[in-house]
Amino acid sequence: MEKKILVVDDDPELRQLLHEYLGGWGYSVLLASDGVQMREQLEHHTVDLVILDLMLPGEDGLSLCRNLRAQSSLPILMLTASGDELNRIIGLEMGADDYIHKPFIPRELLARVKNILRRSGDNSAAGAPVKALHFANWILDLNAHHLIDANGVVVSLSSGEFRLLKALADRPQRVLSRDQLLEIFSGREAGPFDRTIDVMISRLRRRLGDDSEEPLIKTVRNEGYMLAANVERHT
Amino acid sequence: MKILPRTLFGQILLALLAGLIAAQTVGFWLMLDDRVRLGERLRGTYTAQRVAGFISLIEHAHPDERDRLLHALNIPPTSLTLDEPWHVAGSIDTADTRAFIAHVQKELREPLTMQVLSIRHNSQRAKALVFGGRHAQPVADEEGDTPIGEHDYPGPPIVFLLGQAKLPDGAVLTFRHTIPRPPNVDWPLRLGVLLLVLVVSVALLAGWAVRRLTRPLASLADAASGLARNLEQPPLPETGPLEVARAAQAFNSMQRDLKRYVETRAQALAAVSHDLRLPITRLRLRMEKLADSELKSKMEHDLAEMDDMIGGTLAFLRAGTNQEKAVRLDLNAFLESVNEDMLAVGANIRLHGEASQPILARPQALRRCLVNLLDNARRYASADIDMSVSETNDHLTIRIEDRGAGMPLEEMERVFEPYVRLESSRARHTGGTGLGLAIARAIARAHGGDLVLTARAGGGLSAILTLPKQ
Repeated sequence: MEKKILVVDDDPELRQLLHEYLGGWGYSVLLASDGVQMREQLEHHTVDLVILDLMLPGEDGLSLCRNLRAQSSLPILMLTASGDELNRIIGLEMGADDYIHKPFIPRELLARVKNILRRSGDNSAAGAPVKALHFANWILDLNAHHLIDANGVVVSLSSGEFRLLKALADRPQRVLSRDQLLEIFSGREAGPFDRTIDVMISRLRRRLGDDSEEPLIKTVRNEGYMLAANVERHT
Repeated sequence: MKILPRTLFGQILLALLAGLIAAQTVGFWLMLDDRVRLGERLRGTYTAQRVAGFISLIEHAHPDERDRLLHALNIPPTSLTLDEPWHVAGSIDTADTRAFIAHVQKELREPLTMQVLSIRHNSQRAKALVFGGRHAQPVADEEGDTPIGEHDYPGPPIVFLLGQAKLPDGAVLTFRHTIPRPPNVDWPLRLGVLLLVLVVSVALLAGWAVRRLTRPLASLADAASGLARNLEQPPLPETGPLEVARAAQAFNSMQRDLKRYVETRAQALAAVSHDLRLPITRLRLRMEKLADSELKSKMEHDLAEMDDMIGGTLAFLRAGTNQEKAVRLDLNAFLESVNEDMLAVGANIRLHGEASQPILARPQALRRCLVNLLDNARRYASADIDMSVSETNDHLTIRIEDRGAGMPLEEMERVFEPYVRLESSRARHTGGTGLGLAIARAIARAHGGDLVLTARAGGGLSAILTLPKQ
């Protein structure tokens, strides 16, 4: 079945272009120029994803996002024209599932749309997006892409390390094979990933201060790796 | 003149003290001179009166009693004798002897033949007067207006006098009078102490007052030099003397105007950059309708470049503002992760040294700062980059060093200016937006640190980023 995407943006040309572009990729696209039109469209249609511009005349994107989130778990992709870190973080706190800067590369937008739709398909009771994963004495901040230790000290991760750790922490106590992990890596942001998983894992262990006797990231011989800890999801 | 102090404080103080000392010196000198004149006059008058008194006594005494009287009167500083004959030769006839004789004659009120045989002056005090003056001439006062100085004795004061008077009965009285030295010989010391006390107390008081006046000027100078680095610095207190307060007011209003001006410019730049994003987004979407071609990929490249410039401009405008929250950051993990991410774009970075403790920093901004520096090293030099961490008590230094061609010394400050690229021949696809270093430095300074470039020993360039530990 065609997924329905509602594009809320005040620029008519951009709306039209997005309509054509996403339509070309097999989505059914609805358009709205502001909050009022957005609510009208939502009343008449069952929508799978809202692409919401941050800067809108009348009620702005942030406030619309908060109101939407209060009523439903409808996935939201924010368009942040400002590229402003602060707005990005506020946007995520207001409950957006993801964000993309203008001017975005259309393929990138498409990838994010697919990603959000897949996630919401996986887990229909998603609710508010997860902002942090807590395990052992660590917090994995999903917005800032870094770890925070028990003393509140920020431990940075490279983008590869972050994705690997997030993959493990999303599926705690489950063994993930090297192939699965590799797939997770190259899933979203494509690009040659020439480091082997094993090197990455040993780096991650060092970051986590893992000791060899009771490692957080366990090696399961001939199978892969798993995070041996309970993970709490914080929204 | 190197001796003159260069500070306003020193100069004002010096002028005040010099004026004070000069005025006091002249004042004291005039007063002393007056005192000396008075003293000399009194002593001169005393000498004349004493001599006149003796002459009168001897003159009116019975000849039989004269010897006894002479004996009794022979007390220093005057010695008298009747035994010497009238010296025919050797009479000194000068202005001062005439003045002396005239004075004695006046005391005696009767003409008497007199002569002065020897007179010795105190050569040290020129212009001091011995005879004459108001104090010396009560008689003259009674007789009428005798202007002061009419009988002034023009020469230096007399210290020794030898003279003779012919008494009416033919006897000759010879007198020798030694004028005692003035008693107040310790005056320079006492006056010196007095002057010193005055100078010191005035110096302290004037120093305090002048310091009070010049301090706002010093803070004005500090504020002016600090303005270049930080437009957001707190306004100056508008206190102190009227002129200084007005200067501070003018400075504060200049800072406000400057800030407003910079803000307006920044807003305009930000607005343009923002607004450019929409057409670029549209263009990108429109291009999706085109079939893949070399032209299309070139246009995509152009658009990406525009995107970079806009992103860079916005990042630069934001770099000085601290929107991100500062956190305690594990610098070692941070540097390693930056390294990791740079490896993915083909930079080969060797990391040396370690930080001993977490620092307070804004990770996103600091990452941008380092990535810009590493990117420069990678772009302009080779892929061979050294990144080292070292510490002092209160600072942490991160050096990013390459073995590239380096940079002329005179360019090392200029490249921090926004939109300045070192070689104009380098097109944008290699040169970036010309904002990388400006952003990196703004971030370093927003962290309370700094960023400078130096030549690396043995060739190449060093970017030295210092950050405070706390």
